[in-house]
Amino acid sequence: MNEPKQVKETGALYSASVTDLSHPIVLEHDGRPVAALMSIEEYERYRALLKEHRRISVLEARRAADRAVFGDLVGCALSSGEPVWVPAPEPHWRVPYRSFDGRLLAAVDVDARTRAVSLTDEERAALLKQVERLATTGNVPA
Amino acid sequence: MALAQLGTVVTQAQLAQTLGTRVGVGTPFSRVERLVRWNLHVRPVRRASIDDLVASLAADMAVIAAITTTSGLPGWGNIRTQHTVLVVSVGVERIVYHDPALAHGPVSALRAEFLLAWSEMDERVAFLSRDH
Repeated sequence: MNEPKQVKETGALYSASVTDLSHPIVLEHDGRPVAALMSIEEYERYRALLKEHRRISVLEARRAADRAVFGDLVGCALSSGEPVWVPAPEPHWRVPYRSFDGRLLAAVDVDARTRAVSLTDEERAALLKQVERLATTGNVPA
Repeated sequence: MALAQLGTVVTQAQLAQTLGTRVGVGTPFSRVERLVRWNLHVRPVRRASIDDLVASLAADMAVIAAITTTSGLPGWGNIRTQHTVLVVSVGVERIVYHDPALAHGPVSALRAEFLLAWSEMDERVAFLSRDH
């Protein structure tokens, strides 16, 4: 954003100034800056930036995915890997799940803003069934 | 391991049947309460403190802690999964425990590393003792 204009002790000046918002305008009261005016385009850009920066961390994403995949299971022969950042179309973390021998079995997406995990009950059941099948056929150390 | 510590002898098959363990899939930690069938007192706790562990060990209880494995714990490398261990002692710098996934034991981990692994599971623990 460019250097802001300053409008001091405004009144009539205020209405005159808002006709040109190519640069942000800082409003002062008693010599102190109290507000800023910006064009709606700048405002939307600001909101988009805020949204972008409000994303959850890689640790939070993996924790959320683990909670969804494992629940309170212990001793499951499944390992969560390093999440991968996927910026578009909606920013999210993709958490890989592998068998203990390194085979990729699933990738679970975690919304970077809402923390929502894209794993249905049916998908989870199918994943655990796959792990069970691999363990019982002796392909994976359980 | 925990049952043996309390003088209860149970086969792995009996234990798996009681807990409803699925091969490869594991067991919900909450099912630890089913161990009462062997005349044990079982107290699962979420958000336990390290002082709780110390006090329970001093009272000769078996302490089963739920953890998320990390590379800082012996034997796990890059595998990150939910697991349980039997805590043996809590030291200033290290925590000693039996890990049922390892052929040998007990093993120890840096206290900070263990606490990190434990915190990932909301400091869940089950305290087991003989039912008097």
